[in-house]
Amino acid sequence: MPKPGYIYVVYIQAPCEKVWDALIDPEMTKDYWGRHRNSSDWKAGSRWQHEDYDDASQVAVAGMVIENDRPHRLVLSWARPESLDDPDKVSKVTFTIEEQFGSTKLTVVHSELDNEMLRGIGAGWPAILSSLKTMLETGASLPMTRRRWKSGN
Amino acid sequence: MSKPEFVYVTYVETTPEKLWEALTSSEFSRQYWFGTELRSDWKIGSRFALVMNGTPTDEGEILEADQPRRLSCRFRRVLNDEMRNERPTKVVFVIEPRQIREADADP
Repeated sequence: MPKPGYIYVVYIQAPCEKVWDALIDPEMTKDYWGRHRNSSDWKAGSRWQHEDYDDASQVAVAGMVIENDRPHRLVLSWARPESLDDPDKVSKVTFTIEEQFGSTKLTVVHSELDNEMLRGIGAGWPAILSSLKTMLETGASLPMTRRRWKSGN
Repeated sequence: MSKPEFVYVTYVETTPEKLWEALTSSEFSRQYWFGTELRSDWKIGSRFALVMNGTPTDEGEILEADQPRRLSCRFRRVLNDEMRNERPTKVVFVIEPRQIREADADP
């Protein structure tokens, strides 16, 4: 039986490059992604992790960089750090960034999910991506996404 | 078999009242809905229409109107006879003032 997938589409009035950079710039993610950052050298095959901005030992999500084609496509594997070796618990996130009618269309496809991860990310992505849009268009993120949502992991 | 359904969630840095106004006022909708105007008095059972550059594109009725929390309507495309004969679809807008709860959010 196929595992559930999740898709979210949002249009942002900013260049593709700015949207791409916002996904991996710690000074931006800390404001729209619950005071976390994504750390990696972002080369295909490298490890990446989603960690507390103030304490890098607190890792919430980890995986590999599967594809990196700035500014149009970023593909990551995505798992809780303790589940990285369990194929059933490793999901995949594909960011697609396209110029459309003078705006940028950001599509996030989160596939190969288990039910627990589906519940969590189904609540998380709309808040994070709404805040990313708000920040790039107005200069300020949504206040609720500037703080940690969970202590530790 | 259940009919298909599409759900979209977005967070907007505003108040429920302003969001309600943006969903029900042509002054707003013309700016974000490809120039579309909204025609309704927004009372339950009232008629509802979308009008683009003077041409009605969709017509229907208001099913629920609980300002500023919940608005729903049933409508169909009316651009030609074929569309008029299709079954109407239903849209529900739910507006909640909301901080995300810790238990909800991940990552």
